[in-house]
Amino acid sequence: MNDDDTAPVLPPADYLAETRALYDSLGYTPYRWAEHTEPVALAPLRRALGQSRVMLIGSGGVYRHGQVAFATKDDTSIRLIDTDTPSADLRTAHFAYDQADARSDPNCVYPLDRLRELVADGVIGSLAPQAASFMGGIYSIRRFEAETVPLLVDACRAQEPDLVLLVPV
Amino acid sequence: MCHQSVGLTARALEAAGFPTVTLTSAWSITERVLTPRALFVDAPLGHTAGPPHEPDVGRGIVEMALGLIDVGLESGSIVDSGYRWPNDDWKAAPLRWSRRSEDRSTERHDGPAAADSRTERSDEPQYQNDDDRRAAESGESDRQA
Repeated sequence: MNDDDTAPVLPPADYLAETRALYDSLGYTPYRWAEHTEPVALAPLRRALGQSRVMLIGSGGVYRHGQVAFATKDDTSIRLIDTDTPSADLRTAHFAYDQADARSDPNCVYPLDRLRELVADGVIGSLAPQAASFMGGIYSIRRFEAETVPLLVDACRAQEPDLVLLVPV
Repeated sequence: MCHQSVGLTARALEAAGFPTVTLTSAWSITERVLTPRALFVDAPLGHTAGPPHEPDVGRGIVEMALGLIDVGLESGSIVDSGYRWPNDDWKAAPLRWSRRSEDRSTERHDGPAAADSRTERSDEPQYQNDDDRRAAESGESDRQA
């Protein structure tokens, strides 16, 4: 979206390489990242975007004032957040990113205001009544897939979205 | 880890019948798990949906991501949004925010036998402020609702 000639040209940050260098420097064995070599079959589209019910899922550790905050060590729980919650009531609890901007404007990692605007303008049909949130910095892939993923799939089954927007950090 | 977790979630949701679109600022991780449909946003971690207090930018990113549903992408595709953070300084040490607050220099830590300076992770809820803690502990709401 930046069209000016001064746009930076460095390639994307390579977090795989960064993590490898960090673990090497500490004398740790390399982190074993998940890898898939087969693309998953895409679910069939249900309806046009303008009629679709959209559900937001974010991994930035967002919780609502009044909810229990996320722990930062392999917390595999999720939070459900009513999509009419004012952004001023959203908080973050995470360890692996600078939360200052997200705490000042939660839309950086949990764009509920933007989605509400898109509903108002008819770009999407509606929002699912609840959005989901978790703290994505979970080192154990086994635990994440066994504990967190089923909670998120169940949340989707309850909300029946036509489309899910996922926002990692 | 977050981008890995989200990619795995997107795959599981597609398999369960829910179409997904995913934002990403970590191209290599998103690619490694073949996240079904992703929009790349070239920004420091914590700004996947855009910079703070720039609603027009954020809206453009979110709308572009949702629009990926309509362009006939193959599973595992990553599309570049074209968005670029205003400077590239952060790319010298993109993981520095995982370090303890006293050690967030932009120096790379790949010398031999460096100390592990990453933020210690905790089993306790990490409230943004004490008011949040009081509200949660007074039982105003339960864990998931």
